[in-house]
Amino acid sequence: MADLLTVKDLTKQYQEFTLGPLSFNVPAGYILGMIGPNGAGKTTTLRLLLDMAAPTAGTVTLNGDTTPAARALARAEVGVALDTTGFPESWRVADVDSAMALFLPNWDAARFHELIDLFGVAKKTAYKKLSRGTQAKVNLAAALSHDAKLVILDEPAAGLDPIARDQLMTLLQAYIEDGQHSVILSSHITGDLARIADYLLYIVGGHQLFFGETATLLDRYVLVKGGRGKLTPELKKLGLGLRETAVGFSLMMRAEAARNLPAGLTIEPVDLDALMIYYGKEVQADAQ
Amino acid sequence: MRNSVKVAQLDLRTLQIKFPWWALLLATDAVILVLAMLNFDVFAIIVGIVFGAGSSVVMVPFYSNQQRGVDGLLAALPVTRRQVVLGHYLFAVGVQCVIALNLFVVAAIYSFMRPEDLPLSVAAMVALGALTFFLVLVAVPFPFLMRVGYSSATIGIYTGVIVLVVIGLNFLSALGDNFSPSFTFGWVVAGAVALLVGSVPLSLHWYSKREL
Repeated sequence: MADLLTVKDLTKQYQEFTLGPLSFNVPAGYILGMIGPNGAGKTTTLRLLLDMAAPTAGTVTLNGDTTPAARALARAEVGVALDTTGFPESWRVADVDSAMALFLPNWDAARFHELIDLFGVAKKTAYKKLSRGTQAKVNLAAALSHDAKLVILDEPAAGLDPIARDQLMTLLQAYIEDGQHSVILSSHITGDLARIADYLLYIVGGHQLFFGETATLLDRYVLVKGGRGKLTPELKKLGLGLRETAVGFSLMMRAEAARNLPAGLTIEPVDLDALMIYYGKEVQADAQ
Repeated sequence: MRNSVKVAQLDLRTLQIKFPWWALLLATDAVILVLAMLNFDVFAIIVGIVFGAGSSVVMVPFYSNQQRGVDGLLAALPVTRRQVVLGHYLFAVGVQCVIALNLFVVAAIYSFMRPEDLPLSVAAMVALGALTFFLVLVAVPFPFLMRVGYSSATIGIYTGVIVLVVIGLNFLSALGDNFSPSFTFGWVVAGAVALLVGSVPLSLHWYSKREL
Protein backbone atom coordinates (compact mmCIF):
# COMPACT_ATOMS: atom_id res chain seq x y z
CA MET A 1 0.00 0.00 0.00
CA ALA A 2 1.97 3.03 -1.30
CA ASP A 3 1.60 6.40 0.36
CA LEU A 4 0.59 9.20 -1.97
CA LEU A 5 1.40 11.75 0.70
CA THR A 6 3.69 11.58 3.71
CA VAL A 7 3.96 14.43 6.19
CA LYS A 8 6.59 14.37 8.90
CA ASP A 9 6.91 16.85 11.78
CA LEU A 10 5.34 19.62 9.72
CA THR A 11 5.38 22.87 11.67
CA LYS A 12 4.35 26.40 10.82
CA GLN A 13 5.07 29.20 13.25
CA TYR A 14 3.14 32.45 13.04
CA GLN A 15 3.34 35.31 15.50
CA GLU A 16 0.22 34.26 17.37
CA PHE A 17 -0.32 30.70 16.22
CA THR A 18 1.77 27.59 15.89
CA LEU A 19 0.66 24.64 13.84
CA GLY A 20 2.14 21.25 14.46
CA PRO A 21 4.25 19.30 14.54
CA LEU A 22 1.98 17.22 12.32
CA SER A 23 2.82 13.74 11.09
CA PHE A 24 0.50 11.69 8.95
CA ASN A 25 0.30 9.81 5.69
CA VAL A 26 -2.30 9.09 3.04
CA PRO A 27 -2.13 5.64 1.45
CA ALA A 28 -3.49 5.10 -2.05
CA GLY A 29 -7.14 4.09 -2.04
CA TYR A 30 -8.22 5.82 1.15
CA ILE A 31 -9.95 8.95 2.37
CA LEU A 32 -8.36 11.07 5.07
CA GLY A 33 -10.72 13.35 6.94
CA MET A 34 -9.38 16.42 8.71
CA ILE A 35 -11.46 17.57 11.64
CA GLY A 36 -11.11 20.30 14.19
CA PRO A 37 -12.86 23.48 15.31
CA ASN A 38 -12.53 26.83 13.53
CA GLY A 39 -8.97 28.12 13.66
CA ALA A 40 -7.57 24.66 14.43
CA GLY A 41 -5.16 24.87 11.49
CA LYS A 42 -6.88 22.64 8.92
CA THR A 43 -6.72 25.13 6.06
CA THR A 44 -3.16 26.13 7.00
CA THR A 45 -2.20 22.45 6.82
CA LEU A 46 -3.69 22.14 3.34
CA ARG A 47 -1.92 25.34 2.25
CA LEU A 48 1.38 23.89 3.48
CA LEU A 49 0.75 20.69 1.54
CA LEU A 50 0.26 22.79 -1.61
CA ASP A 51 3.31 25.02 -0.93
CA MET A 52 1.09 28.08 -0.70
CA ALA A 53 3.03 28.80 2.48
CA ALA A 54 6.48 27.60 3.49
CA PRO A 55 6.72 25.40 6.58
CA THR A 56 8.94 26.43 9.49
CA ALA A 57 10.06 22.82 9.83
CA GLY A 58 9.19 19.33 8.66
CA THR A 59 8.84 17.55 5.34
CA VAL A 60 6.07 16.93 2.83
CA THR A 61 6.49 14.11 0.33
CA LEU A 62 3.92 14.21 -2.44
CA ASN A 63 3.95 11.16 -4.65
CA GLY A 64 7.69 10.76 -3.97
CA ASP A 65 8.60 14.43 -4.54
CA THR A 66 10.10 16.32 -1.61
CA THR A 67 11.06 19.79 -2.93
CA PRO A 68 8.55 22.60 -3.59
CA ALA A 69 9.49 22.86 -7.29
CA ALA A 70 9.18 19.10 -7.83
CA ARG A 71 5.88 19.02 -5.93
CA ALA A 72 4.61 21.92 -8.04
CA LEU A 73 5.22 20.03 -11.26
CA ALA A 74 3.66 16.89 -9.75
CA ARG A 75 0.41 18.73 -9.23
CA ALA A 76 -1.00 17.43 -12.48
CA GLU A 77 -1.68 14.41 -10.25
CA VAL A 78 -3.44 16.49 -7.60
CA GLY A 79 -6.98 17.85 -7.72
CA VAL A 80 -7.63 20.81 -5.47
CA ALA A 81 -10.72 22.69 -4.34
CA LEU A 82 -10.00 25.17 -1.57
CA ASP A 83 -12.46 27.36 0.27
CA THR A 84 -10.40 30.47 -0.48
CA THR A 85 -9.63 30.04 -4.16
CA GLY A 86 -11.75 30.10 -7.26
CA PHE A 87 -11.88 31.18 -10.86
CA PRO A 88 -11.87 34.68 -12.39
CA GLU A 89 -15.20 36.44 -12.03
CA SER A 90 -16.11 36.65 -15.70
CA TRP A 91 -15.40 33.01 -16.50
CA ARG A 92 -18.14 30.62 -17.49
CA VAL A 93 -18.02 26.82 -17.36
CA ALA A 94 -16.50 26.69 -20.87
CA ASP A 95 -13.69 29.04 -19.78
CA VAL A 96 -12.88 26.86 -16.77
CA ASP A 97 -12.86 23.84 -19.07
CA SER A 98 -10.44 25.37 -21.59
CA ALA A 99 -8.15 26.84 -18.90
CA MET A 100 -7.84 23.54 -17.05
CA ALA A 101 -7.21 21.71 -20.34
CA LEU A 102 -4.30 24.10 -20.91
CA PHE A 103 -2.48 22.98 -17.76
CA LEU A 104 -3.62 19.43 -17.03
CA PRO A 105 -2.55 16.72 -19.47
CA ASN A 106 -5.19 14.28 -18.22
CA TRP A 107 -8.01 16.80 -18.31
CA ASP A 108 -11.27 15.03 -19.17
CA ALA A 109 -13.67 17.63 -20.59
CA ALA A 110 -16.47 15.08 -20.96
CA ARG A 111 -16.17 14.11 -17.29
CA PHE A 112 -16.12 17.80 -16.26
CA HIS A 113 -19.32 18.55 -18.16
CA GLU A 114 -20.87 15.37 -16.80
CA LEU A 115 -20.19 16.56 -13.24
CA ILE A 116 -21.36 20.09 -14.04
CA ASP A 117 -24.63 18.60 -15.34
CA LEU A 118 -24.90 16.30 -12.31
CA PHE A 119 -24.48 19.28 -9.97
CA GLY A 120 -26.98 21.32 -12.00
CA VAL A 121 -24.64 24.27 -12.64
CA ALA A 122 -25.85 26.87 -15.16
CA LYS A 123 -23.18 26.76 -17.87
CA LYS A 124 -23.73 30.22 -19.33
CA THR A 125 -23.64 32.10 -16.03
CA ALA A 126 -20.48 33.98 -15.06
CA TYR A 127 -18.65 32.54 -12.04
CA LYS A 128 -19.21 35.66 -9.92
CA LYS A 129 -22.98 35.45 -10.45
CA LEU A 130 -23.17 31.88 -9.17
CA SER A 131 -24.14 31.28 -5.54
CA ARG A 132 -21.36 30.24 -3.15
CA GLY A 133 -22.60 26.66 -3.19
CA THR A 134 -22.68 26.56 -6.99
CA GLN A 135 -19.18 28.06 -7.19
CA ALA A 136 -18.07 25.26 -4.87
CA LYS A 137 -19.63 22.76 -7.28
CA VAL A 138 -17.64 24.21 -10.21
CA ASN A 139 -14.45 24.00 -8.11
CA LEU A 140 -15.27 20.39 -7.20
CA ALA A 141 -16.02 19.39 -10.78
CA ALA A 142 -12.66 20.88 -11.84
CA ALA A 143 -10.82 19.03 -9.06
CA LEU A 144 -12.38 15.69 -9.97
CA SER A 145 -12.00 15.81 -13.76
CA HIS A 146 -8.36 15.01 -14.45
CA ASP A 147 -7.93 11.64 -12.85
CA ALA A 148 -5.85 13.14 -10.02
CA LYS A 149 -4.23 10.55 -7.79
CA LEU A 150 -4.78 12.77 -4.77
CA VAL A 151 -7.75 15.10 -4.36
CA ILE A 152 -7.53 17.80 -1.68
CA LEU A 153 -10.84 19.39 -0.68
CA ASP A 154 -11.21 22.13 1.90
CA GLU A 155 -14.73 22.35 3.33
CA PRO A 156 -16.25 21.17 0.06
CA ALA A 157 -19.66 20.58 1.61
CA ALA A 158 -19.90 23.95 3.37
CA GLY A 159 -22.17 25.64 0.81
CA LEU A 160 -23.91 22.52 -0.45
CA ASP A 161 -27.47 21.44 0.23
CA PRO A 162 -28.03 17.92 1.67
CA ILE A 163 -28.71 16.41 -1.77
CA ALA A 164 -25.52 17.81 -3.27
CA ARG A 165 -23.59 16.74 -0.16
CA ASP A 166 -24.86 13.22 -0.54
CA GLN A 167 -23.90 13.26 -4.23
CA LEU A 168 -20.42 14.45 -3.30
CA MET A 169 -19.87 11.77 -0.67
CA THR A 170 -21.02 9.07 -3.10
CA LEU A 171 -18.72 10.50 -5.78
CA LEU A 172 -15.72 10.52 -3.46
CA GLN A 173 -16.33 6.95 -2.37
CA ALA A 174 -16.53 5.87 -6.01
CA TYR A 175 -13.40 7.90 -6.79
CA ILE A 176 -11.16 5.87 -4.48
CA GLU A 177 -12.73 2.50 -5.22
CA ASP A 178 -9.99 1.39 -7.65
CA GLY A 179 -7.38 1.65 -4.90
CA GLN A 180 -5.25 4.09 -6.93
CA HIS A 181 -6.80 7.38 -5.83
CA SER A 182 -7.01 9.10 -2.45
CA VAL A 183 -8.84 12.06 -1.00
CA ILE A 184 -8.00 14.51 1.78
CA LEU A 185 -11.17 16.12 3.00
CA SER A 186 -11.41 18.89 5.55
CA SER A 187 -14.91 19.40 6.90
CA HIS A 188 -16.94 20.60 9.84
CA ILE A 189 -19.70 18.20 8.89
CA THR A 190 -18.55 15.30 10.99
CA GLY A 191 -21.45 13.07 9.96
CA ASP A 192 -20.15 13.08 6.40
CA LEU A 193 -16.62 12.34 7.55
CA ALA A 194 -17.71 9.49 9.80
CA ARG A 195 -19.50 8.03 6.81
CA ILE A 196 -16.64 8.07 4.32
CA ALA A 197 -13.28 8.79 6.02
CA ASP A 198 -11.03 5.76 6.52
CA TYR A 199 -8.49 7.82 8.44
CA LEU A 200 -8.87 10.92 10.57
CA LEU A 201 -6.50 13.73 11.41
CA TYR A 202 -7.83 15.60 14.41
CA ILE A 203 -6.33 19.04 15.03
CA VAL A 204 -7.21 21.43 17.84
CA GLY A 205 -5.45 24.77 18.35
CA GLY A 206 -2.70 23.76 15.95
CA HIS A 207 -1.96 20.52 17.85
CA GLN A 208 -2.38 17.11 16.31
CA LEU A 209 -4.54 15.17 18.76
CA PHE A 210 -5.03 12.07 16.69
CA PHE A 211 -4.10 10.46 13.42
CA GLY A 212 -5.27 6.99 12.60
CA GLU A 213 -8.23 4.91 11.51
CA THR A 214 -11.62 6.45 12.18
CA ALA A 215 -12.88 3.35 13.96
CA THR A 216 -9.80 3.33 16.22
CA LEU A 217 -10.46 6.89 17.28
CA LEU A 218 -14.12 6.26 17.99
CA ASP A 219 -13.41 2.98 19.83
CA ARG A 220 -10.92 4.74 22.04
CA TYR A 221 -13.55 6.82 23.86
CA VAL A 222 -16.99 6.34 25.42
CA LEU A 223 -19.65 8.63 26.76
CA VAL A 224 -20.71 7.96 30.36
CA LYS A 225 -24.12 9.30 31.39
CA GLY A 226 -25.89 9.42 34.72
CA GLY A 227 -27.92 11.46 37.22
CA ARG A 228 -26.29 14.43 38.96
CA GLY A 229 -25.79 12.53 42.19
CA LYS A 230 -23.64 9.97 40.42
CA LEU A 231 -20.99 12.50 39.38
CA THR A 232 -18.28 11.99 41.96
CA PRO A 233 -14.91 13.81 42.06
CA GLU A 234 -13.19 10.50 41.20
CA LEU A 235 -15.36 10.12 38.13
CA LYS A 236 -14.65 13.71 37.09
CA LYS A 237 -10.93 13.00 37.23
CA LEU A 238 -11.35 10.18 34.70
CA GLY A 239 -13.21 12.42 32.27
CA LEU A 240 -11.79 14.19 29.23
CA GLY A 241 -14.84 16.36 28.72
CA LEU A 242 -17.90 17.03 30.84
CA ARG A 243 -21.32 18.35 30.09
CA GLU A 244 -23.79 18.94 32.96
CA THR A 245 -27.52 19.59 32.82
CA ALA A 246 -30.13 20.22 35.56
CA VAL A 247 -30.83 16.50 35.85
CA GLY A 248 -27.65 14.73 34.94
CA PHE A 249 -24.29 14.70 33.22
CA SER A 250 -22.45 13.16 30.33
CA LEU A 251 -18.74 12.60 30.55
CA MET A 252 -16.41 11.53 27.78
CA MET A 253 -13.55 9.30 28.86
CA ARG A 254 -11.13 6.72 27.51
CA ALA A 255 -12.83 3.34 26.97
CA GLU A 256 -10.41 1.51 29.26
CA ALA A 257 -11.13 3.95 32.09
CA ALA A 258 -14.84 3.10 31.85
CA ARG A 259 -14.38 -0.61 32.54
CA ASN A 260 -14.81 -0.51 36.33
CA LEU A 261 -17.39 2.18 36.82
CA PRO A 262 -20.01 2.01 39.59
CA ALA A 263 -23.46 0.68 38.76
CA GLY A 264 -26.22 3.01 37.61
CA LEU A 265 -24.23 4.70 34.87
CA THR A 266 -24.90 4.31 31.15
CA ILE A 267 -22.01 3.82 28.75
CA GLU A 268 -22.53 4.83 25.12
CA PRO A 269 -20.24 4.95 22.09
CA VAL A 270 -19.13 8.41 20.95
CA ASP A 271 -19.63 9.85 17.52
CA LEU A 272 -17.35 12.40 15.87
CA ASP A 273 -19.56 15.32 16.85
CA ALA A 274 -19.46 14.37 20.52
CA LEU A 275 -15.73 13.79 20.30
CA MET A 276 -15.13 17.23 18.84
CA ILE A 277 -17.41 18.94 21.34
CA TYR A 278 -16.14 17.23 24.50
CA TYR A 279 -12.51 16.70 23.67
CA GLY A 280 -12.05 19.93 21.75
CA LYS A 281 -13.51 21.99 24.59
CA GLU A 282 -11.29 20.31 27.12
CA VAL A 283 -8.12 20.83 25.10
CA GLN A 284 -9.02 24.43 24.37
CA ALA A 285 -9.66 25.02 28.07
CA ASP A 286 -6.26 23.49 28.87
CA ALA A 287 -4.61 25.72 26.31
CA GLN A 288 -6.16 28.81 27.90
CA MET B 1 9.04 28.21 -20.76
CA ARG B 2 5.94 26.40 -22.01
CA ASN B 3 4.35 26.68 -18.60
CA SER B 4 5.12 30.43 -18.46
CA VAL B 5 3.40 30.83 -21.83
CA LYS B 6 0.40 28.99 -20.38
CA VAL B 7 0.32 31.35 -17.39
CA ALA B 8 0.44 34.31 -19.82
CA GLN B 9 -2.45 32.74 -21.73
CA LEU B 10 -4.36 32.34 -18.47
CA ASP B 11 -3.74 36.03 -17.71
CA LEU B 12 -5.08 36.90 -21.14
CA ARG B 13 -8.22 34.91 -20.41
CA THR B 14 -8.86 37.00 -17.29
CA LEU B 15 -9.25 40.03 -19.59
CA GLN B 16 -12.66 38.85 -20.64
CA ILE B 17 -14.88 41.59 -21.88
CA LYS B 18 -18.06 41.32 -23.91
CA PHE B 19 -16.11 41.38 -27.18
CA PRO B 20 -12.78 39.79 -28.12
CA TRP B 21 -9.88 42.14 -27.27
CA TRP B 22 -8.72 42.39 -30.85
CA ALA B 23 -12.20 43.41 -32.02
CA LEU B 24 -12.27 46.16 -29.40
CA LEU B 25 -8.83 47.34 -30.49
CA LEU B 26 -9.82 47.44 -34.16
CA ALA B 27 -13.08 49.25 -33.36
CA THR B 28 -11.18 51.89 -31.35
CA ASP B 29 -8.68 52.30 -34.19
CA ALA B 30 -11.50 52.70 -36.70
CA VAL B 31 -13.23 55.37 -34.59
CA ILE B 32 -9.96 57.30 -34.20
CA LEU B 33 -9.23 57.20 -37.93
CA VAL B 34 -12.77 58.26 -38.83
CA LEU B 35 -12.45 61.20 -36.43
CA ALA B 36 -9.11 62.05 -38.02
CA MET B 37 -10.73 62.02 -41.49
CA LEU B 38 -13.36 64.41 -40.14
CA ASN B 39 -10.52 66.76 -39.16
CA PHE B 40 -10.76 66.24 -35.41
CA ASP B 41 -7.52 66.57 -33.48
CA VAL B 42 -7.23 62.94 -32.41
CA PHE B 43 -3.68 62.97 -31.09
CA ALA B 44 -4.76 63.71 -27.51
CA ILE B 45 -7.47 61.02 -27.74
CA ILE B 46 -4.95 58.45 -28.95
CA VAL B 47 -2.50 59.25 -26.18
CA GLY B 48 -5.28 59.11 -23.55
CA ILE B 49 -6.68 55.80 -24.73
CA VAL B 50 -3.30 54.16 -25.19
CA PHE B 51 -1.91 55.19 -21.82
CA GLY B 52 -5.17 54.40 -20.01
CA ALA B 53 -5.49 50.98 -21.63
CA GLY B 54 -1.80 50.23 -21.23
CA SER B 55 -1.83 50.97 -17.52
CA SER B 56 -5.04 49.17 -16.67
CA VAL B 57 -4.74 46.03 -18.79
CA VAL B 58 -1.58 44.76 -17.08
CA MET B 59 -3.28 45.03 -13.70
CA VAL B 60 -6.38 43.00 -14.60
CA PRO B 61 -4.89 39.57 -13.87
CA PHE B 62 -3.76 40.79 -10.44
CA TYR B 63 -7.17 42.32 -9.75
CA SER B 64 -8.74 39.05 -10.75
CA ASN B 65 -6.31 37.17 -8.50
CA GLN B 66 -7.26 39.38 -5.60
CA GLN B 67 -10.98 38.92 -6.14
CA ARG B 68 -11.02 35.17 -6.51
CA GLY B 69 -7.78 33.84 -5.13
CA VAL B 70 -6.51 32.88 -8.58
CA ASP B 71 -2.99 32.84 -7.13
CA GLY B 72 -4.25 29.89 -5.11
CA LEU B 73 -5.60 28.30 -8.27
CA LEU B 74 -2.18 28.66 -9.90
CA ALA B 75 -0.61 27.11 -6.79
CA ALA B 76 -2.83 24.09 -7.36
CA LEU B 77 -1.77 23.68 -10.99
CA PRO B 78 1.45 22.05 -12.20
CA VAL B 79 3.47 25.26 -12.53
CA THR B 80 6.31 26.48 -10.35
CA ARG B 81 6.29 29.95 -8.81
CA ARG B 82 9.12 30.95 -11.11
CA GLN B 83 6.99 30.01 -14.12
CA VAL B 84 4.05 31.99 -12.70
CA VAL B 85 6.16 35.15 -12.35
CA LEU B 86 7.71 34.80 -15.81
CA GLY B 87 4.24 34.16 -17.24
CA HIS B 88 2.90 37.40 -15.71
CA TYR B 89 5.84 39.33 -17.20
CA LEU B 90 5.35 37.66 -20.57
CA PHE B 91 1.70 38.62 -20.56
CA ALA B 92 2.32 42.23 -19.51
CA VAL B 93 5.18 42.88 -21.94
CA GLY B 94 3.31 41.08 -24.73
CA VAL B 95 0.18 43.18 -24.21
CA GLN B 96 2.21 46.39 -24.05
CA CYS B 97 4.03 45.50 -27.29
CA VAL B 98 0.70 44.85 -29.03
CA ILE B 99 -0.71 48.17 -27.79
CA ALA B 100 2.45 50.07 -28.81
CA LEU B 101 2.51 48.38 -32.22
CA ASN B 102 -1.15 49.19 -32.71
CA LEU B 103 -0.43 52.78 -31.71
CA PHE B 104 2.32 52.94 -34.31
CA VAL B 105 0.04 51.54 -37.04
CA VAL B 106 -2.73 54.03 -36.23
CA ALA B 107 -0.26 56.90 -35.96
CA ALA B 108 1.35 55.87 -39.28
CA ILE B 109 -2.05 55.85 -41.03
CA TYR B 110 -2.83 59.22 -39.44
CA SER B 111 0.57 60.48 -40.57
CA PHE B 112 -0.16 59.28 -44.12
CA MET B 113 -3.50 61.11 -44.05
CA ARG B 114 -2.22 64.31 -42.45
CA PRO B 115 1.58 64.41 -42.77
CA GLU B 116 1.69 68.08 -41.82
CA ASP B 117 0.19 67.27 -38.38
CA LEU B 118 2.18 64.14 -37.57
CA PRO B 119 5.35 63.21 -39.50
CA LEU B 120 6.04 59.46 -39.61
CA SER B 121 9.26 59.85 -37.60
CA VAL B 122 7.29 61.48 -34.79
CA ALA B 123 4.66 58.73 -34.99
CA ALA B 124 7.41 56.15 -34.53
CA MET B 125 8.86 58.10 -31.60
CA VAL B 126 5.43 58.32 -29.97
CA ALA B 127 4.93 54.55 -30.23
CA LEU B 128 8.41 53.82 -28.91
CA GLY B 129 7.88 56.37 -26.13
CA ALA B 130 4.64 54.66 -25.17
CA LEU B 131 6.35 51.28 -25.11
CA THR B 132 9.10 52.71 -22.93
CA PHE B 133 6.56 54.10 -20.49
CA PHE B 134 4.77 50.74 -20.47
CA LEU B 135 7.98 48.89 -19.71
CA VAL B 136 8.53 51.15 -16.70
CA LEU B 137 4.91 50.54 -15.77
CA VAL B 138 5.65 46.81 -15.63
CA ALA B 139 9.15 47.02 -14.16
CA VAL B 140 8.31 49.19 -11.15
CA PRO B 141 5.03 47.78 -9.82
CA PHE B 142 5.46 44.10 -10.60
CA PRO B 143 7.91 43.25 -7.80
CA PHE B 144 5.56 44.95 -5.31
CA LEU B 145 2.55 43.14 -6.75
CA MET B 146 4.39 39.87 -6.36
CA ARG B 147 5.39 40.75 -2.81
CA VAL B 148 2.20 42.11 -1.26
CA GLY B 149 -0.61 41.45 -3.75
CA TYR B 150 -2.88 43.75 -5.67
CA SER B 151 -4.89 45.51 -2.97
CA SER B 152 -1.93 46.60 -0.86
CA ALA B 153 0.22 47.51 -3.83
CA THR B 154 -2.22 49.62 -5.89
CA ILE B 155 -1.59 53.03 -4.34
CA GLY B 156 2.14 52.42 -4.09
CA ILE B 157 2.30 51.31 -7.70
CA TYR B 158 0.86 54.47 -9.19
CA THR B 159 2.68 56.74 -6.74
CA GLY B 160 5.94 55.02 -7.66
CA VAL B 161 5.33 55.33 -11.38
CA ILE B 162 4.35 59.01 -11.11
CA VAL B 163 7.46 59.78 -9.03
CA LEU B 164 9.62 57.91 -11.51
CA VAL B 165 8.08 59.70 -14.50
CA VAL B 166 8.52 63.14 -12.87
CA ILE B 167 12.16 62.40 -12.01
CA GLY B 168 12.67 60.93 -15.49
CA LEU B 169 11.22 63.98 -17.23
CA ASN B 170 13.44 66.33 -15.23
CA PHE B 171 16.45 64.15 -15.98
CA LEU B 172 15.49 64.11 -19.67
CA SER B 173 15.12 67.84 -19.75
CA ALA B 174 18.62 68.24 -18.28
CA LEU B 175 19.98 65.64 -20.67
CA GLY B 176 18.23 67.24 -23.64
CA ASP B 177 20.09 70.50 -23.02
CA ASN B 178 23.41 68.78 -23.66
CA PHE B 179 22.69 65.94 -26.09
CA SER B 180 20.69 65.32 -29.25
CA PRO B 181 17.03 64.15 -28.85
CA SER B 182 17.73 60.75 -30.42
CA PHE B 183 20.71 60.16 -28.08
CA THR B 184 18.60 61.11 -25.07
CA PHE B 185 15.69 58.99 -26.26
CA GLY B 186 17.96 56.02 -26.83
CA TRP B 187 19.22 56.22 -23.25
CA VAL B 188 15.67 56.43 -21.93
CA VAL B 189 14.64 53.30 -23.82
CA ALA B 190 17.78 51.47 -22.67
CA GLY B 191 17.09 52.56 -19.10
CA ALA B 192 13.53 51.24 -19.24
CA VAL B 193 14.69 47.89 -20.62
CA ALA B 194 17.37 47.66 -17.91
CA LEU B 195 14.77 48.48 -15.26
CA LEU B 196 12.51 45.73 -16.60
CA VAL B 197 15.29 43.15 -16.72
CA GLY B 198 16.37 44.11 -13.21
CA SER B 199 12.86 43.81 -11.80
CA VAL B 200 12.47 40.16 -12.87
CA PRO B 201 14.85 38.61 -10.28
CA LEU B 202 13.33 40.81 -7.58
CA SER B 203 9.85 39.60 -8.50
CA LEU B 204 11.03 35.99 -8.58
CA HIS B 205 12.58 36.35 -5.14
CA TRP B 206 9.58 38.06 -3.56
CA TYR B 207 6.98 35.77 -5.09
CA SER B 208 8.92 32.72 -3.96
CA LYS B 209 8.59 33.96 -0.36
CA ARG B 210 4.98 35.09 -0.51
CA GLU B 211 2.17 33.22 1.22
CA LEU B 212 -0.73 32.64 -1.12
